[in-house]
Amino acid sequence: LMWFPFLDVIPDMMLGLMCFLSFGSYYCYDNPASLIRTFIEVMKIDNTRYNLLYSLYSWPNVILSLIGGVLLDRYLGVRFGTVVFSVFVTFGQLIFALGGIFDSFILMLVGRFVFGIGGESLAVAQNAYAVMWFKGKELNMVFGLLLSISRVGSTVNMNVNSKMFDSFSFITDQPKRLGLVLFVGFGWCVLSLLAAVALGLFDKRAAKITKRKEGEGERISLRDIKDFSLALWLVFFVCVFYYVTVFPFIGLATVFLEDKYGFPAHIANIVNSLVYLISAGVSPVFGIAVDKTGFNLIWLNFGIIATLGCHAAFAFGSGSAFIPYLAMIGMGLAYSILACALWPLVAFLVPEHQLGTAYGIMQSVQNLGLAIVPLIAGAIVDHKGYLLLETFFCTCLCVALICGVLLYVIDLTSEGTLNLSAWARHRLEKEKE
Amino acid sequence: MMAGTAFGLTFFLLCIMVVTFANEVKRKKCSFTRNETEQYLDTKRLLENPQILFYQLNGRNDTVYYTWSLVGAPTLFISVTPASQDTNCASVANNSFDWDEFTADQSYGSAYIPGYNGSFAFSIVFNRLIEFSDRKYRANKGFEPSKLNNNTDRYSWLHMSDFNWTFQDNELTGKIENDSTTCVIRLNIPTSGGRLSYFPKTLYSENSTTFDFVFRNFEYSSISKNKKDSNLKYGRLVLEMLFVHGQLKNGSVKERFSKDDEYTPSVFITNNYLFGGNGTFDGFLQWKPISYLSKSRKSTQSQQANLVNGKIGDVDIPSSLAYALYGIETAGVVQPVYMVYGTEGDDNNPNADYVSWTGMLGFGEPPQDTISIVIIITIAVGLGVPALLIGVGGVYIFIRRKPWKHIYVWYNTKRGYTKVVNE
Repeated sequence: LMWFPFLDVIPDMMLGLMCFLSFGSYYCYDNPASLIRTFIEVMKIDNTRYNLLYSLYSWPNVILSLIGGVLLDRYLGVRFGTVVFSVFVTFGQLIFALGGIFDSFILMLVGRFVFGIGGESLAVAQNAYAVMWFKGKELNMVFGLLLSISRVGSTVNMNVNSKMFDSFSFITDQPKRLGLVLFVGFGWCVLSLLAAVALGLFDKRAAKITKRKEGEGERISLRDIKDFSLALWLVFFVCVFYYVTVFPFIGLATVFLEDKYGFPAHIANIVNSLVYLISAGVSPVFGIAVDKTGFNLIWLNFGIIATLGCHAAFAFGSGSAFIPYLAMIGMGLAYSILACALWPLVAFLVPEHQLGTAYGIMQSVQNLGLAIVPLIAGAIVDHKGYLLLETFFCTCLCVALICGVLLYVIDLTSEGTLNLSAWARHRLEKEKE
Repeated sequence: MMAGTAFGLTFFLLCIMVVTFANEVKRKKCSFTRNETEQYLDTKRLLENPQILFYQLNGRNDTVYYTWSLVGAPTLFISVTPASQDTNCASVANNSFDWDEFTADQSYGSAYIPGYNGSFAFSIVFNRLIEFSDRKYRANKGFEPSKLNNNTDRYSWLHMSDFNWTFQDNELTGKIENDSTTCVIRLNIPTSGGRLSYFPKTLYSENSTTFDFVFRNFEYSSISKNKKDSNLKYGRLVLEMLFVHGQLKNGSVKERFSKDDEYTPSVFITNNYLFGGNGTFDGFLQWKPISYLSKSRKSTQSQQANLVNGKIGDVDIPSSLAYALYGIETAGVVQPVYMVYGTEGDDNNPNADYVSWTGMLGFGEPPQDTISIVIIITIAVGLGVPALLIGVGGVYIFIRRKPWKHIYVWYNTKRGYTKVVNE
């Protein structure tokens, strides 16, 4: 089968390997969130230090988001680069687990930093593979499927780790018990690394047989930044001010749900995983909906307002048990809608030769926010509690909403194309051709 | 210039008035302390072996008496009387005790603090510090007061009367001979409303007093340890308290939920043991269900503090101020309650070296936390600005479209002039 890439089963097999490529990474990214109280009690840390586990993941990606694509395209190649990034992910998780075994929080932080070097770039590599194999075919569906499978990994992590920790009760040394649970994540990363190797071998063979031409590769030019419009910068601000209210919240939500709503730990983890679970299911659906209807800015602002409502419910709602369920489901839906509406906006605002730079800057700014905000969130929880934390998230969403509204106003008054209907955009693209 | 100066001065005076009224002292406090040899009015000096800490707070409508007794089992007593004109609390205190009888054996009738037989008088006797072997980590759900005296494999205790106390700067420090256990009780006798400066930052009123217990370096016995595996620990601390009161109706615990955990991060519940009934609040013991495990008082190093009721009459009043006031015959209620420190399912924090608990005893309606002004302002600005922007943006878009700028052209037709609208 390796020698006949034109058979239908080969693309499906490659798709399966691509899906599994980042499963380990997404499973391990939220290891801290699934065991937050365990980390805090066993490693004897507070919320601020706990959130370093997320912050250090994002710091390397402030730079790597800009150059990761270039590294893949021009220096490492997609195949070798995928394996390299997967090795970083695997070794990072190994060091993280060893931090538990040796009861060293510093070692855990080093592990998360190394893990972060590979994590985001691995997603870029996964997308590069998807484009190589499925461009011009069902690429949107493939992207949606890749994201869905990745989110399944996150959901599995949320629901399994706490129970696994309890079931390892025969290990009375708590840090070692925690390290063993993290080693399970290391196991998943090893499987993902094997998928990366297999992908590389199959792809190399396929490229040779089909005599595939290597592309010019992604080009990043920081000088392009001066050409970026106000609208594009507003898109960047929406991105950062929105996502800092989702991922840092998920990182802290389990204990919040236990403390405010009295949930037992395993229920809190299930509820916390609803955002990812919903996203895994509806992202492709909302992607199709946004494609079919257009009006990206309407969807965008709706997503922001819906998320604002969810955080407001967490902040000002009573301790009734139904509130977190509804709010988490709402957040999952809103997060999926916003992602489908936000990321394509960049392509509407910059010419193709600047896309690499624009997306790189956008992810870089996003990671900068995700590096800083968890520390702020942790400090707020330690000193001022969860109501102020939710107020802080509401404030960030209000800033995102301001940017979203400004974007709408600018687009409307400058006869822009961000909020066109699907039919109008299709007609516009035909006219351009 | 004159007008500006007058305005500035008026504004300055208004500010002074606001600050003055905001910090208005609602009660005037007089304090009196006594040990075997001396009597003090100055509580800043170190007092060895204090016997009585007596506080009289005169308000406009009533006078409150708080008495801490360290003779026998430590006891906190509160009584309320109509407003008293007597400001010499040393005289009041000396007239409230038969010192010889009280210090000898706390016999019934040796204490008669004003208001003790009135409509509101209440005492808490801190009787025992219990060590509880919680092998299944069930915390308060696994604590059984009825088996306390019969099951020595699970329960052992220290008597609080065994502590030797010193008192300085509103802090009682107790130690036991040949034992590392230390108990520190930080007192707060406020003359007006306010908030504690340390977590859990309890909100208090001029009708209440707070106390903060810290137990340090408790020597856990073999019942709290596993002989084969030193990693396995089971010990929880439990503070046995006896509520002894006369006319007040028996109490019940009410939980109150608050959306705001700003003052006690991660705690949304306030517990009130309410005395009284029929919708009225005669008095309360209030606490937040949190016990800190370190001096830094971080919520990440904490455990729960939950009350377990004992059976009325199961525990006799020990030698204490409560016995001196009420004895056995006239005591209305002797309700034992147990404050269990520990969280169900938590196997990380047994045998804790540092256990704290803050309580508040008072009369009238318990103080309630409200959402702070910081949150209100943040939300108002955070939501107000986008709303304003949407409004302004909408007006701007409306103006730019210039809907009313039509140019009318009149044509002379056979039918007469016809209006043609040209946008």
